[in-house]
Amino acid sequence: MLARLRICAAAILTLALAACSDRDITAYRVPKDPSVAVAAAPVDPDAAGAQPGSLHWSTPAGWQPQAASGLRAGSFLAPGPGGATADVSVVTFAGAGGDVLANINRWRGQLQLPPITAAELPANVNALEEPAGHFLVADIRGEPVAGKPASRILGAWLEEPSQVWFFKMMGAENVVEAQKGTFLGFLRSVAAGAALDGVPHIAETGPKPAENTNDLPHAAFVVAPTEGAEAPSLQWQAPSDWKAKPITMMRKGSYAVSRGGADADLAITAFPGDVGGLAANVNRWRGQVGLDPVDDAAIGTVTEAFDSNGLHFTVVDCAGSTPSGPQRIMAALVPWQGATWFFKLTGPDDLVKSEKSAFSEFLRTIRPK
Amino acid sequence: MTPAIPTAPAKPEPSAAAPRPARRSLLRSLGIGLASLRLTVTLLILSLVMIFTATLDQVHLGVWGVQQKYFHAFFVMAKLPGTDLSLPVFPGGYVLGLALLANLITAHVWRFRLSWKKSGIWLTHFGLILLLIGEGLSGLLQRDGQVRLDVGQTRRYVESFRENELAVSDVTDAAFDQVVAIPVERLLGQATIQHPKLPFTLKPIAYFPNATLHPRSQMTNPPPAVATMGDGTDLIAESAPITYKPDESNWPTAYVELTGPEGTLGIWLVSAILEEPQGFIYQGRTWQLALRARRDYVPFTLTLGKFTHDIYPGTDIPKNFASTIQLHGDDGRIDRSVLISMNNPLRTGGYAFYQAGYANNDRTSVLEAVRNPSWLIPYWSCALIVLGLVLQFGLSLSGFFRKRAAAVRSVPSSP
Repeated sequence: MLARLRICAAAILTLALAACSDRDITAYRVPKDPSVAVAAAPVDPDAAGAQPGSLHWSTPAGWQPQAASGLRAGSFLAPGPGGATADVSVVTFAGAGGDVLANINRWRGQLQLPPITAAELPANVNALEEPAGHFLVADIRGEPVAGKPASRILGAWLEEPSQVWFFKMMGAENVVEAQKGTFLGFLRSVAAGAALDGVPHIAETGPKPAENTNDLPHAAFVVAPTEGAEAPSLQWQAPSDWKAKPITMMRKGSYAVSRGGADADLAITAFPGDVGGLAANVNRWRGQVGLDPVDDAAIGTVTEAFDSNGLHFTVVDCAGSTPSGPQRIMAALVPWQGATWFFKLTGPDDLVKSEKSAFSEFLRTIRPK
Repeated sequence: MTPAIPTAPAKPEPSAAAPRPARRSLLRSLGIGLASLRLTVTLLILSLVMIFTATLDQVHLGVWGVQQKYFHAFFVMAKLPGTDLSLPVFPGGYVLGLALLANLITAHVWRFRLSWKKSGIWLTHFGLILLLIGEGLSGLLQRDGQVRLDVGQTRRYVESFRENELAVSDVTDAAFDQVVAIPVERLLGQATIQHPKLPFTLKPIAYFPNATLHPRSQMTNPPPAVATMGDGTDLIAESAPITYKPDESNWPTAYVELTGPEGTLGIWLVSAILEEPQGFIYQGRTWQLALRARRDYVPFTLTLGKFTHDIYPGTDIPKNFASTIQLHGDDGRIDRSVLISMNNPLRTGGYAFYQAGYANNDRTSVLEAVRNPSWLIPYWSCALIVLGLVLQFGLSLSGFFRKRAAAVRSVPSSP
């Protein structure tokens, strides 16, 4: 009898113990994933002067290289009077870096300053021709807060065909003033060059979540995309000569339109709600190409509407002049299933204009999935 | 849970009227109690109540949440009203399953005798025991995940649907990455995490099972940034309620501080929302931090050659999804093209890859990957149960015919 009970107890104990499991830390070595883009790597503090990416530069005397973040391709401390320092960063994003007004207003926001309008842009941006290319430079002074000295940002960006580089010095007003000449000399030292061995090319990381923030009014990271076959979605048929680009978290679709050496970008995004309404979105796009906003009553004069495949499209076509040349935005808003879908083609005026009929046909292919 | 068929007692149940043994040991009492048919019925009723309650609770928790709370748990826990104290209020699936299994096994060992006449019942019950064990093993060993492939893309790992990990990778080597994968559950406490493969320690500062990230530059009066390094220096993580909806995801997020022998290296914000790993260089080696879906690496690669999404002509009704996959084993012994379509999975390396979905305007194929070493057990158990039932009924039938023939022979012939 006891033997039988022992058999039972052993069987039950074995099963009970088998039921206990706990996940533990594991370590393993794997071949690099051939399909994954190499991630960003900051500058090693011990490797002063290391320049990842296709640009390199000379570190000015007195600047202290710093261990930087994943987004930073370069990071320095620039010394100023009284031992104070300013933070200098070099950041790059794949794709477009947002429009000029958005960049200026982002930096103004960091200094607690109100945004400016497109009409005020010329007084706030200067162009700078350097060996690396055409820089746009902004010098933004903040207001003194609670007895502290005012902060200041001296920022510049350089657009390349597939990426944009941001160079920014931020610190107390007097420190930035003292380092302004050095910073401009730093920009002059920027030149094209190969990445160092063993340091991943930051430009290969693909667009970051912050990319395309010009279409994300105050909710860029709050939206949890529910990509997948189960989520309500739209489908479309892109023209064969539009080249599909990798999708980012914020984009439902992404295409490059290239012709004659010029490139335009088609972004497909979707966000909950009406995203500020029609007028807010139209005026944001108008501002991005240097056009004045229109009021609600006149919004119908700058938009066209049509219905297709059970969807309601509102189409905007706006062209204007920006510091980087004539630009055009052709975009459509589609409210659907409690969200607003954006189909936005941005690029040089001539190229986007030539794609107008293709864009219209593309819109007609959009339908609920 | 698979309900067990109540065992037919080979001996009558002990009752108050039955004479009690003079010296019944505690073990004997335990054995009798464990083999009792009353226990079987009680457990089956408890199972019914649990399944019914869990079904109702699906409204709040969803399928996955209910599985975790009721079926893949030893006890169903509930919070004491007004406190954060969780107390067991009902036996969970593991307790009921193990108790049913123990009941069935003990009943056989204790009461049943091996005999040719009962062989069908033995086989049937053995099939049931195997079914219960298989269910338990599936709950413990099965791993579900997915492989998302764009056309032309190659993957060598399966990503978990629900489990996440903090991957700390040394990516200095041109050909290989050395990865230390820390389950996110380890970030729940404040205990410092050490590992022989890491030249620094990680200390969780805060962990959110679900969170949203806000750019400080877009907030009015933003709080000071917690992260001092990485992509999170301009971001604020805000805790969000855990979602159990099948079409929504949780975004686990944490602040972790890295410390080397020389002192702190900084605080990083790591989140599943951040798509790209965050890099830094330490002691001459390049490291990456990423909070991501748990990865199970496989000794082969899958490359999506083509994805087709057919619909019935003139409609939008799906007809067929299919992925043409190039399967390549690391040892070079496998290199073939495979078509994975609905109800036509690829089985290799212990995994079954099913065509599960698509995304990205039909340019991304989503394969569901299931690894279950015990996946054959239910088939074997069902076969045993069927065999046992056929045998038992066959034996009864032949016994019936024998008795009838004997009865016919025994009837005297009429004059």
